[in-house]
Amino acid sequence: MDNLVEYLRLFFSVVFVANFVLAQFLGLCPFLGVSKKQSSAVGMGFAVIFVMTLAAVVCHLLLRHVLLPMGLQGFLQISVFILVIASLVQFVEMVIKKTSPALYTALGIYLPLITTNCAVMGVAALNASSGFADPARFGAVDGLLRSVVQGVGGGVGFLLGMYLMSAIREDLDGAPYPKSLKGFPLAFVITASMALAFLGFSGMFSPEGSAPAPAAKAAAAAAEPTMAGLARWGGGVLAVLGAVLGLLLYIASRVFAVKTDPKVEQILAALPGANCGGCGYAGCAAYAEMLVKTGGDVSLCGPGGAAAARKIAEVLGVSFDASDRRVSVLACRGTCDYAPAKHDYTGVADCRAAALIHGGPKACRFGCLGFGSCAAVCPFGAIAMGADGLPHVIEELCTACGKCVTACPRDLFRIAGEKQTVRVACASHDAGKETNRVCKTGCIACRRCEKSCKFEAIKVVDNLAVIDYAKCKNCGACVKACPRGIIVNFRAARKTRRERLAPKAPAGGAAKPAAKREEAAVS
Amino acid sequence: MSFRLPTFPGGVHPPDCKAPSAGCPVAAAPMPEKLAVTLAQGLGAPSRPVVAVGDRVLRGQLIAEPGGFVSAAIHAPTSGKVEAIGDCPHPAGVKAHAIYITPDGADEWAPGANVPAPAEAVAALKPKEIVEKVKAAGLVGMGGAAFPTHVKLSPPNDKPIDTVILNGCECEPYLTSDYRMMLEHAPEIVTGLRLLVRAVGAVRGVIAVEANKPDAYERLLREVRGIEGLSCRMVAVKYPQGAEKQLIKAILGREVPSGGLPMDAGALVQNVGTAAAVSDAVCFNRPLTERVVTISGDGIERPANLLCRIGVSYRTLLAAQGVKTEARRLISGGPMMGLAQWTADVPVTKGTSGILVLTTPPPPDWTACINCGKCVEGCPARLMPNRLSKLGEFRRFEDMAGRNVLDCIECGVCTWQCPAKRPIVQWIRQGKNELRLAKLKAEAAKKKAEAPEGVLPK
Repeated sequence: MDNLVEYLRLFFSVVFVANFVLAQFLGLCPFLGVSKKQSSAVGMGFAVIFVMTLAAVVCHLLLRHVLLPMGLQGFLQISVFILVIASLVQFVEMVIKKTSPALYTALGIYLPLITTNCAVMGVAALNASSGFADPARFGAVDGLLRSVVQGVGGGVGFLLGMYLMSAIREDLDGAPYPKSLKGFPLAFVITASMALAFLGFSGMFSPEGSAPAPAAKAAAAAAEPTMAGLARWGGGVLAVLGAVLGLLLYIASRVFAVKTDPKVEQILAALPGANCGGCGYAGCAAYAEMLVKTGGDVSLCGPGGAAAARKIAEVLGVSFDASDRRVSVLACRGTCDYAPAKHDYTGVADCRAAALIHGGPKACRFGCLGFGSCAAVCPFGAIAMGADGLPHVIEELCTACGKCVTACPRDLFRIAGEKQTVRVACASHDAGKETNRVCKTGCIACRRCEKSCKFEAIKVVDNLAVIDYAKCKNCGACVKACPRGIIVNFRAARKTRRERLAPKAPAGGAAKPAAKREEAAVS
Repeated sequence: MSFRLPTFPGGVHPPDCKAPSAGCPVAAAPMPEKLAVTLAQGLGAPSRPVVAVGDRVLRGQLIAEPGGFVSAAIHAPTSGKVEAIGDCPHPAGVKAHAIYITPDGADEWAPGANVPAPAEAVAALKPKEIVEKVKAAGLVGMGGAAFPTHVKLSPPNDKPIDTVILNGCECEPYLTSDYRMMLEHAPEIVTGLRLLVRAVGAVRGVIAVEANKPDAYERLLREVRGIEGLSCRMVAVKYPQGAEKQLIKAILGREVPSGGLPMDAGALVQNVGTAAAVSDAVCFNRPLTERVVTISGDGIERPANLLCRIGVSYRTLLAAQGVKTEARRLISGGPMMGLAQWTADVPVTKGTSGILVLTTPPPPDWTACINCGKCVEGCPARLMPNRLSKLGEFRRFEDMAGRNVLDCIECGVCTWQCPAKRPIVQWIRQGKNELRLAKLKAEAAKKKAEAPEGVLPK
């Protein structure tokens, strides 16, 4: 341990001064991709530490004992390193998949990406160019230790960068910054500022200790490889190495095998893999697993749409009718004009927060509170808050993921078939007199709809009209009969909205329904 | 000998605003035409009515029995007729029914109630019997949280309580009901403390009074002098000195562990008003039918401390004391932890310590967190309200659990001194609620998973 100071210097210089991400700009892909959540960033960071350390050790040994004696370091170095690192990542992937499926899903595509990650490659190359494997300059143990320290340090530096980045991004997650900066633009700005900040570390060590570069160059020049070595050993070395690693991977895949239903794999292939959670499950894998295990709705994937649903239905051997699209429907028409507030509320503008204080500011205890928790949680931008104080579902964008259903503290959203165009837009179970007091448009249980229906499809249950869609023919008789206008035929409303949307592009962010009274029916 | 008064880490010094009502002796509140005795008098399950519409009830007669273990009995506040049982707005904003009673003016006590018990009989009571009497009298914590007292007095055997602390801090601004109790009913408070010490088998009883109430301290000191095991301690003036866990830290130097209860630190904390009520219940067979309520705030014409029957509406009390025209806000409880009301038709409950009418407008809009760290410095629970507020703002409630949100005592220190005016406590309360719902959902899902038929989630 004579060189302890040297090792520490090496470690800290590769963590701070020569940080792989923020000073050398290696491995930016996972750095930007997996740094949205602290938990996955830390998981990724540790995976990289592990891979980097192993890569440093194995590459060092190969370089010192195989490539250098054979004079192959200049030609085969890169190929050998890639081979080693790719196998290592495969191995790590198997282990993580077996031991921590949650982390495996969270890392997603980025884990395999370490395979070709320049940061890992960079550690091996940096070790090589530092000449740690050169018997002329470093002893066997000393050189190996330096490689390990540089490997661990590189990983720790990566973890540090990842952790800082994810902490900042988590904090900025809900901050009201301009939309144009959302996502990668802001991430790049943060990265740049962090890189600038890391520049400040460059004065950490006095120059003579921290720069092995000139010496390394000299060493590299001294051990100039010859074509003779390549011709004699090149192909053989690669072949042997490949065979050994292949065998090891085969054994590992047996040891760390995870039993997965082939159906899950097939469904996963059909899903877009965005892991958006729009289906209500923790990512695509969870949804696929649920489908295989318990069966259920194959059409929950919003981004995948009908195509994904059809494929899933095929895999599961169930029928899927693409025309039976389902959308979310709001069961309230109590706009600010119709249903007044019972008190002022100046707290957090969130329905769930407001509902905890005296049941929410709206006088009607069943009606929509209008703070837009549903719009905030909608992953597809399919709910827009109207100026009338009610959320409006943009049916073209709605995927019936059900997030609004769980977000609404008043439980006002129903997932209904698009074909069921006649809907009751009220949820009040109060008696008629009370409803009339708190809302000018709520269901007063007058039963005129009941009488008007020829198919006995609508019944007043517990002071509220309820439609039995098994019997309903969407004839619209009850819509005409309702004196309060809370039974709504969506067909008409939909048509006017389509016409209005028609000149614009179908991409729907612009489809904000205006707040005219007749259009209040749109949701 | 330390010259520093005992206290806890963190905390703030809001202006105490007690002057308007501190000098007002407790006066009887007017008897209204109708009393609304809500069935949700304290924390826990609502009580079950045992009277029917049309019954004549006498003062102190049981009208509702506990609806569970954590629930309290309710007694008629005066004699009269049960007019109705139905919906009633509640100061805590919970949905609850109330028993409406029309007083007949006689204020006649029920047989057996309000009868002094002989001193020897009281002295012979076993701990269990004291707890039974407290339970029968429908006592709840009168400091504001209204936790049923008999539950606190029944700790499991493996958690012995060695110290009973009577909380006479009254650290909330404006409120003076406990202060007046201490001045006017010191003997009852001390009797109550002795009964509480006996009930839980403690070795000492401590009355803690904030240093801004020296006369109350002197009064109680005179009363406890010469009684073995009892003492009176002055504690530093700081908000929230009267919070249970903070008071234990100040008096005993013990920390209640995260997620634990005072009994985990071997302590029992009761409000001084509760102690007086214990004395009433045990020595006089008087169930809890009235309490002292401070009516104050800069929107009140004549601030006062009123002895109110349970169930009298805020409107009646406010009308008696006069409300200024510039009044803007009505608050039940203190300004730090109390809850703003949307109607004055809510009734006084057993936990109503004060009714405030303020002329200050609601706080202005909040802005982004400026990372000043004041809330972290002030948090008496040693949490990081800055992080919690951001997690709340970004709706990441599930991450709040990792930051010990459940240990928050909701004292309001962070929100009170936040320069960005962020509604931190509201986010925390929402977070606690979301975590509770998530737990329920997870339990339901677990149950569903155990049942073989997979039913689609809604």
